Amino acid sequence: MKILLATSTKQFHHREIEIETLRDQLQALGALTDILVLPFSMNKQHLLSQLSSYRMLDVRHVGDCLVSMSAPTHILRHPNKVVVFSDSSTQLVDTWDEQDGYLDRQPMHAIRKLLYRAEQVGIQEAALGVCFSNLTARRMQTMVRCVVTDSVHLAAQLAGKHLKSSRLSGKKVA
Amino acid sequence: MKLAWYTPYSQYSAIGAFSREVVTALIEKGHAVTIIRCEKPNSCVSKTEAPHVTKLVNASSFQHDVPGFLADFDVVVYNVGNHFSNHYFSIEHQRQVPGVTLLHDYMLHHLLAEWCEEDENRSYLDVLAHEAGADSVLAFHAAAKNDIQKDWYMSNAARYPVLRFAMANTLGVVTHADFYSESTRKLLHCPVTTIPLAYPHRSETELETPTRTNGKLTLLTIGDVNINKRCESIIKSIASSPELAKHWRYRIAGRVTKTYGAHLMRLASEREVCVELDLLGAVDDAQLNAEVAKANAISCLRFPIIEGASASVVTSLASGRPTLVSQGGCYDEIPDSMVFRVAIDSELDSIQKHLMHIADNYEMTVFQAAKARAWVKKRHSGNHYATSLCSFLDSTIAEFPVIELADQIAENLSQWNWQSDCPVVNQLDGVINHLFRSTTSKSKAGI
Amino acid sequence: MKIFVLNNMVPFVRGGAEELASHLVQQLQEHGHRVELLKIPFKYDPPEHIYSEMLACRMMRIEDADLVIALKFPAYLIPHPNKVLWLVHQYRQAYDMWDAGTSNIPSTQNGIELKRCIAEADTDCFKNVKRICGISPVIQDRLKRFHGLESELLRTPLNAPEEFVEGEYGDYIFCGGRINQTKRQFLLVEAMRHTVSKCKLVIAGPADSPTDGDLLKTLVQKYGLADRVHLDIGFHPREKIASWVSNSLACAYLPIDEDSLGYVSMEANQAAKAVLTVDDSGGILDLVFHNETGWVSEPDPIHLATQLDRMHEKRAETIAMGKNAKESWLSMGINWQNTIERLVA
Repeated sequence: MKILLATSTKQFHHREIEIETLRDQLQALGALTDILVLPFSMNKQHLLSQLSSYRMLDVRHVGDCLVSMSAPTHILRHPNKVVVFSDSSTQLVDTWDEQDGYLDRQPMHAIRKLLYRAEQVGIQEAALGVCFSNLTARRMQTMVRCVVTDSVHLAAQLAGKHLKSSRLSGKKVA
Repeated sequence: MKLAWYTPYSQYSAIGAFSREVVTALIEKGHAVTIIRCEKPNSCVSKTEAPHVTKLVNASSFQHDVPGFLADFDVVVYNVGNHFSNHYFSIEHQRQVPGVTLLHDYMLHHLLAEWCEEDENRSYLDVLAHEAGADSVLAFHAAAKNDIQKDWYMSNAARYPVLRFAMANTLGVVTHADFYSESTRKLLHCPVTTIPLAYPHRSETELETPTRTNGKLTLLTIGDVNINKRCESIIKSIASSPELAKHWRYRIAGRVTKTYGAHLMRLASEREVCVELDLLGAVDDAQLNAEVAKANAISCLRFPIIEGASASVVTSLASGRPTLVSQGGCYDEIPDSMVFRVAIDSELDSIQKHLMHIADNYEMTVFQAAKARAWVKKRHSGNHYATSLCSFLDSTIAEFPVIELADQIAENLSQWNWQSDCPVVNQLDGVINHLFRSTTSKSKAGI
Repeated sequence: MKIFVLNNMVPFVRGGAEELASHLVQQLQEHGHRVELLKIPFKYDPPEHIYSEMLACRMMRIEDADLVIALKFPAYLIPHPNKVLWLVHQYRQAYDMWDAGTSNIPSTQNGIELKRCIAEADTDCFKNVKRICGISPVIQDRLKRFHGLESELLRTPLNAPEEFVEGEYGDYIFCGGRINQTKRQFLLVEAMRHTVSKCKLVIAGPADSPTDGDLLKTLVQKYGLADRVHLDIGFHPREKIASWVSNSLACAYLPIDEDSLGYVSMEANQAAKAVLTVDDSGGILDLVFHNETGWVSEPDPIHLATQLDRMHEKRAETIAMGKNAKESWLSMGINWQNTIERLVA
């Protein structure tokens, strides 16, 4: 199984799981892995343009699975995409709110709405949403169909039979 | 909403009067508006100032940091008309901070010509060719062999509208009549809506019907005098009929050059039948109100019709005076029963026929004009304009980041000299629509 | 300093440029910098896909970096005000390979337009970077020829020089690196058929495609060379490669018009091994001087066979030439210390 892990460079991860750790664990389980690292800036003037650029990259035919490890790599296109929500800042809009609070100026509100819409497109087309806590799972509601305890568990889910069964059964979080 | 409102604001500016009307209505609706005077500094149009209705700032006062100053507003509204000195900063600042443009004229050839004179690197013909194609340049050269003003700016140029040089980055455009909405949309590729021009009704109460002066009716033309206002045709029509000359005197309230004024006076007196003509020159608001009150009918003829809407016609209809209008353009949106239409190909005959009809049936035509007053007061009110504008601004603000994104990409493509038909353009269009415009759907990423 | 290194990636494929990027990051970190390696996926087939890859890079943004070091097209198109190009690759298919008729861009109107668009984007990028360093004179010449630009020469150092040591001088000639048609390992096997001595050849490395590996196996079998030609096709850890190099009599490397000195030949020289190459191998010829640090043959099996016999029969001369080669290589000062200093200068 070939698994492509995707991440972006930005400064606001709180509890990002070590992508290298996950890669090593996947390799130990027999998966062939590679890591995609894309740049990202929270500069509002370039937010939509960057999301569009992610979308234009074509990794649709690469590997058996694409694992989006951090926003906004969930915008990337792949027929078997797994989105990992690593902590409370699961989407760019969370970061936006965290950094700026609610900005009353209407143009800012308009950008936030578009950002949210684009992220929903990326997330909802995923085959599986995974997170590390029931709290995040509840917040992300139906987007999450699998809660894992740690990166070892996540690697097992990705590499093993759990991935397939989760996709089929659409296992819901209690 | 917090709005910055670029407008000329002299006592004589019709767009300034329009702005006062709409801004007042916007403030009544709870919006915060700052008027930004946009005339060219030290030009004659900047020397007087209309009464304030809200905070007023001169655009030249923050010239050093336009984006910084305008960052405080939700949206910037730029009034743009076909006069460079009047709209100087509306053009200059719009290039730095895109906003919504209120387009008062169907084409901007005079504005373009003056804009090019400002900078030797700008070329009128280059812009013309770029926006209107090679044919327009051939047409220009053909017209330039004769009288450039008459044969180009006041006539043929109307076939080749130019807008992009002034507002290529606009987020959305408001036109004041449907007839130029489509060409605007085609040239600018942005959201366009039509809202009938708002204009102050010079009298809230109905004006008395004036009696005849020395047994004659008074026909009035309002506004700066040029060949486009068809004053020569009015004079010729009256002069060609002793009967009409007996019934009508003609007054023109507006700025006129010495040469053209002398020409009109000569025209009125050189014929067998003399026309009683008064050239009043520039008038202020009070004088204009008095002239309208004294008028028995008002001529709002134009050819070609380059205005997006006519403040004169709103003034005239609101005054309850029988009104002559040209056929076509913005005038076609007025119901037939409310105006007397004049077709350009039978102009003199039509004018004669209508003036004779008004003279012979004066009371009846005044009665009909009263209906037009009610119609225009509702349709062209500041309140109606402000309501429609707010709805357009809301949708434009929601859409503006996407338009800005398209502009950024276009800028990238142009930096690289990539053509607009490059294969990636369609792909990007699809990406942008899918991410930002589609309602969220469970589409598959692999498709 | 906060530094971003920009590189492309074809997922699940690892070659010299990927190795270079990893080592650059490691070396920058060892020099006290905070470093992130960006890996942008690149798909150049079908060619028209290149438009979107380029524009995607142009639309990306890098935040909070003091310096960006970009290695390859189209990743180098990502904008940054303080960008140094350490050029490993332009998209050669739009330049010299187009002229040579070996481009994947078709000679149609659309292909010509794509080629123009690549050149336009490159030109815009190059005029906005702080410095351009090429990894070889070939790359410098290409920049000069197609863009009229001067650049600095900054060759790639060896990634792990300490692993390539002067070991035993064994009885085999070693040929490492990726196995494919352009590296011409098959030519060496053909040459072995014509040798008169008992020289031996070891070929080890990953085959780009099964066909590339199968070709070598077939030739060895066909010519009955199994006792003198050892094939070890596949990806090997560097330690294993280093051991083969270090204990060889000499090395061979015959790529077609390679841009750079070539890791295979640099590793050989580091381990005091002379290198056999051919006269159309490009950048290698800056390292291999005939009869001084190795042998430059004509690219045909007969001439190569003559050299292989000589290497085997005049063993002392071969070893001496290897020692010369090491001295010559070290005198070039191509090491990470110098490289990092120049990149962040």
